[in-house]
Order: sequence, then structure tokens, then C-alpha cells
Amino acid sequence: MKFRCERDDLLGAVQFASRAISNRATLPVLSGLRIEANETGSVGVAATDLELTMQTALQAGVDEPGLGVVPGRLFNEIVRNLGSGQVSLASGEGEIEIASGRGHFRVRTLMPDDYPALPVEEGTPDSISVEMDSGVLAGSLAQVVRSASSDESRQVLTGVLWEIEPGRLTLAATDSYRLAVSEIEVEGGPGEVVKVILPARALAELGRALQGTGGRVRTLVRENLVTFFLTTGGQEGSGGESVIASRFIEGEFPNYRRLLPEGYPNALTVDRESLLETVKRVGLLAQNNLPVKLRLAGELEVSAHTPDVGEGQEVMDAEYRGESFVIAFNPQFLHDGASALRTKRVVLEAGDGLKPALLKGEDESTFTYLLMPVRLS
Amino acid sequence: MNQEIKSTTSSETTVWDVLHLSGSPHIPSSLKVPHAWLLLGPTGSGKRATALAMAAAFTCPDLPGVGCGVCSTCTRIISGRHPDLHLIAPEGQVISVDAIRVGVIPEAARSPFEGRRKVFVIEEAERMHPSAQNALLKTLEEPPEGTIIILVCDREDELLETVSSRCRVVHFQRVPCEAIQAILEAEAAETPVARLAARIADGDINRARAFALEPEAQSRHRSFAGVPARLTSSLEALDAAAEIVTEAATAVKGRSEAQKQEVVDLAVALGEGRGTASARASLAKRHKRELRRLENEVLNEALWTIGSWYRDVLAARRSAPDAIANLDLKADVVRWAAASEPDDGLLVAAIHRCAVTPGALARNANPSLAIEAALVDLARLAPPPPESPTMD
Repeated sequence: MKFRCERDDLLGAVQFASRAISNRATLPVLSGLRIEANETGSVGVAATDLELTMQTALQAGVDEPGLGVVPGRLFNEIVRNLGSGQVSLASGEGEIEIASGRGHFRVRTLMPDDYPALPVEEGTPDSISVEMDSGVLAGSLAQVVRSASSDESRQVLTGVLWEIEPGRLTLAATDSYRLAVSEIEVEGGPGEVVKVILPARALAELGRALQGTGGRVRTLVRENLVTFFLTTGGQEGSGGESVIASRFIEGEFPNYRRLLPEGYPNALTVDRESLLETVKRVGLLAQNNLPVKLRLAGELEVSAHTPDVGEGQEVMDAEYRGESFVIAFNPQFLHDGASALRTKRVVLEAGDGLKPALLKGEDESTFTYLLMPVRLS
Repeated sequence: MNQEIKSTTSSETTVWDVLHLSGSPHIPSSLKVPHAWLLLGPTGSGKRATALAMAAAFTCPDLPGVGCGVCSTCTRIISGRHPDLHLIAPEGQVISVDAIRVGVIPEAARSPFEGRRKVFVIEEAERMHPSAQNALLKTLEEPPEGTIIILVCDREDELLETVSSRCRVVHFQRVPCEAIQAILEAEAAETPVARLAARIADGDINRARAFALEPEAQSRHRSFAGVPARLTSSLEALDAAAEIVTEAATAVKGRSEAQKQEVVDLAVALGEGRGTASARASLAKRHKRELRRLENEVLNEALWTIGSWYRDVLAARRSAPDAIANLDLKADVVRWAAASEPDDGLLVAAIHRCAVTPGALARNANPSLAIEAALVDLARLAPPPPESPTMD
């Protein structure tokens, strides 16, 4: 393998792919970056930790097509510290030579034969393809991913459910204390509903990669993985598509639609920013997993009390319809829900102090947050 | 899932040939494909190789159900470097519950990376801590689709019944002497060495391989086999014990050098950045356990070799010289057998003393004390006859 390229292009590609390098790789070769130079003048840079695969391409003058696996972190550091301008790479027996300006580096490489087959090629005819706005998807992921569980004993809950139907994608995640559901519009889709569960960690990376890309994301659901094709917006010519792929979590996601209540009689409408600030302040006095209490009435009274530490209380303006009662929540979960919403005012709908409450944006229905109250003794 | 694994096919080379398993009488010729397997049999009877061959058979795209042994998938599986093959082995004395919670359960819940199946091979499954075994139960009983779990185990009694009862059990026998010799010769050992290795290994292909291919193992064997002749008094026994412990320490030191290189490699691979501390810590932990384990292995080898000496003497006294394993020391064995007048019961007791000590070591007995106690007992049970050869 032998090619020349711009250092900035190479750095962009290397930094993108490096996100998939794991610190606790099970296979030694996965600490590497897989670099493949093609006759067509594009160089693919890829990495995987098996859960998440990230690949991108850059334009280069390819003298000799080929494949090499370089030690990821070191290569990343070298490229980052090179001056701008042209870089040339040439692989020899068990090593790669990097030259830039008057600098020469020789680095031992890893065995390309050990590198797993990457799941980034195009799909088969029976794979499902949908397309969406990348900014919208990024926003939706940010709303939902945080609600996924970190309890490894129930694996399906460590993932996010993707429900794909014609024209619509619904994302849902729950850790069994709260449930976040977000809907977005898509182009294309299968004839009937397709459900897959993707690991939350991979989706958090996807969300990060989507930031600032603009443009569209094409999503391909295949037999055992989902592949996202990102067009790197605004950088025409500097590279091609970037690809992110993730394996599924196998299993049955709980039927969350059954959990969503309908028609609670009590609804509280408050300013979102004020609610966030108040919950954060009062929440300081809800230590040791104690809840914050909300007295729902014409005014919202938020209070917390930790024995031997102290107590806090704050009253907020609110519009309220229904009976007055007290409901208590984990302050972090309440804060997460309110911060995931994007409207100026939010609506809290509740049945009583024990039934799960709903948090929504005012006059907005694409995102729903269901929150279990904490039982007050 | 009703595919069959075959140990032999007509003429093509398969993974079973590559791993020297084909045609060995202890390989079941036909296996249904349940999702949980327990390969049970003595150390070195080919269980691990069989587990890898099965993994190749399950995932090989070219010869599905058999495993071609030469494609990229098969070669990566044989070398333990395939993303859909998960090898779980004790890091030291035990397989901890974390190894199952991190290495098995989340991975089993994921779809396979390359193929349609993923295979988990849990080596020395008897070393799973009971809590690790319990953590595995649910996955073992109802694994996610396309998951196959193979437990490789020497001692079934250390497995919870709830674990073994969920598996299809395949029993392995000691590998016949001739088969071991043939395998070693195929791996380029010279015939006399291969023959001796096969005899002293007592059906354990790993032990035979170590002896035939590692000069250190041969020199250790000679020194351990000479121990019985030195046990003229308790004092001598203590000296011999100290030497055995030193021998183990030497082996540990060699490995420790190799580990330092591994630490350097890890640093190169990971860099010094944030988030690498846990990888370093876990490597250090693994190294410590590995060293402890290696020490035990050498001590067990010593006990086993010493025990085999008494067994040989017993064979010679019972007029079965063909059964003598230590072919290189046959003359010494015969001389000892002729000169001594011990009760054969005492020889049996000596063999037994050698056989029970590894169990104590596995339960974390102090290595020096365990070896000293064993050798002092041996000096009392079966001291060398007056005319027996000395090592000088």
C-alpha cells in the first residue's frame, strides 16, 4: 500500500474512525485502525470494537492499492502532531512508513489477516432502507438514549428500540423507572413494522458523529446489524460517505405502548427552564436517593428533605387543571425528562401520587417521557 | 439447528484433521446441535481442540457443519482471533462472576458480527466461581438466537448440577499413547522423544507436547524424577522441596519477563490517554493470577513426575515392566524395585500422597509448605533402598 494525501483529510478520517477503538479490546488487532487504499483513489479508514464499527473515506493519490492495520492511538497521535501539508504513507513488511515534510516515522503494524470482516458493504435485496434528516435523528437520539438502562442483567433494556414503519421511526428506551419515546419522520420504510434493538452506547456515538454533519442519513437494517450511511455535509470532494454500523441486542423489548396512559385528569403546565432550575436547586437537598416532592396546585411547590442534612422548598408559577395532590420523583430523572424536551413550556400529566406521570412539550407530541413516581412513606 | 457435526468426511481436509482430531476414537462421530455443551474428560484429552473444531464447524462458510480448517474464518477460530468466538479462561485460579457478566452475558445478547452464530468456549469451566456459574444459568438455559456455549471441564464435581444438567455432555478419554506419539511426530518431534513423551504424559496431550517441544520441560522432568532417590531423610526431603519451589519460581520469572513485554505492547496500543487505566489494572491483575497459576502448574508437574516414579517401581515389582512410563530411567526403576522390600501398600500410599497434593494447591495451600509436607511424608513412606543409585 502506498498513497499521498492531505494531512487534514487524513486526520479527520483517523479521528472519526478512532472513536470505535475500544480500551478493552478482546482481540489485539482491534486496537488498530484498518486502512485500505483503493485503485479508485479513495482511502478507507475503519475501526471497530465489534459493537460499533466506524468507517470513513478520504481522497488520496494512490500509487499502490493495499491494506494495512496500524496501531490506532499511536497513529492518531502521529497524524495529529504532523504539520499541515502533504503526507505520504507506504507499508512494508510488518511496518508502515509515514513521511511528512522532513519527518519520517516507521511504525510496526498489526496483522491485517486477523482483522474481522467489516459489516459495511451494501445490503442485500431483503434489507430495509430508510432515510432521514441527520439533525432530526441526532436530536431524537439525544432525547432517548439517556433513558436506556445500565443494568447488564437485563440486556434488552441497555438498548434503544427502533420501530420502523412506512414514513415513521419511533425510538424508545427505558430503564424501568422512566420511558422515553420519540417519533421522527422518515422516507421509505418496510411494508410492515420492523423492530430492532440497538445498544445505547453505539447510538450515543452515532449521535456524536451526526453533530454538525447536516444532510441526510440512510439507515439500512440487515439480518444482524444496522448500518448508517452519513453524507459528510459541506465537505464535497474531501471524502465520501461515512459509515457507522452497530450490532443488535437480541430479545423482546417490553411492550411500551401499553404503559402509556391516556387521559389523566390532572395536568400542570410550567415554564421548562424554570422547572429545570428549580429541580436542580431543590434537588440538592434530596440526597441518598431521596425524591423531590411536587405539590400540584395553582402554584407548583417543589420541596425536598434529607434527614440530618436539611431541606429545601421553592414555589413556581404554574397553570393547573385537576385536584391538588403531592407526587414525588427522583430529581435526576425529572431533570433528564424536562431537559430532553424542547418547547418553552412543558406539561406534566398525572393520575395520582402512585401512577406513572407523563411529561410532554406543550402542543407537541413527538416526544413523550413517562416517569414512575417514588412512593412516599 | 439440526445440522450435524461430522468428525470425518470422505476425502477433503477438515478442521478436525488440522487439529489432529479426525479419526481419534474419542471424538463422537456425530453430534446434534444443542446450544449448551459440556466437554468432560481428563486434562489434555483434546477437549479444547474439539471445542475449537466445533466452533469452526458452526461458523465455517465453506464447509458448514464440518469446518474446512483452511478458510479465513477457520484459521482465525483455530488461533482464537475470530470476533464470533469468545474464549473465556480463568485469569489465575478462578473464572470470576465479572468474567461472565462482562464477557458472556452482554456478548450473547448481541447479534453475531460476521456469521450467523457466535460461540462461547469456557475453558476450565470447573474454575468458575459458584456465583459465576449462577450468573451463567439463564443464558445457558435460554441463550439468545444463534448462541452456542461450550464448557470445557476436567472435573464435573466442581460444577453445579444446575449447570451440568443444562448441557449436552460429551465424555473424553485419555488419548492413547500411540495417538499422542503420532501427533507429536506430525508436529516435528523426533521419534524417541515423542515415544518417551507419550509414555510419561499418561494420555495428556498437553503435557506430552510440552515435554517434547520445550527443552526446559525435559530438564525439569529429569530433575523431578530424581527426587525419590534423594529422600533418605526428612532433612533431604526439605532440601528437595526447596529446589522444586525454586524451579517453579524460575519458570515464573521467565513468564514475568514476557509479561513486561506485554505491558509495553499494551501501552503502544492504547497510548497513555484517559480511560486506559482500567485496561492497565486488569492486565496487572491477570498477570498476577497467571503467575500464581504457572507456579502451581510446575509444582503439579513435579508431584506428578514423582508419583509416576513410584508407580513405575510398583509396575516393576508386579512384573509388568512394559507398563513403566519413565522409559529413560527404566534401569534405575528396576534396580530400585529389586533392591527394596517395601510393602506395596506403602508405594500405593506414596502415589496417593502425590496425587492429593495438587488438590490442596488448587485450594490455595501455601506452596512451600504443601510440597515440604508431601516430600517428608514420601521420605517416610517409601525411602530409597540403600543400594539405590544416587543422583551424584
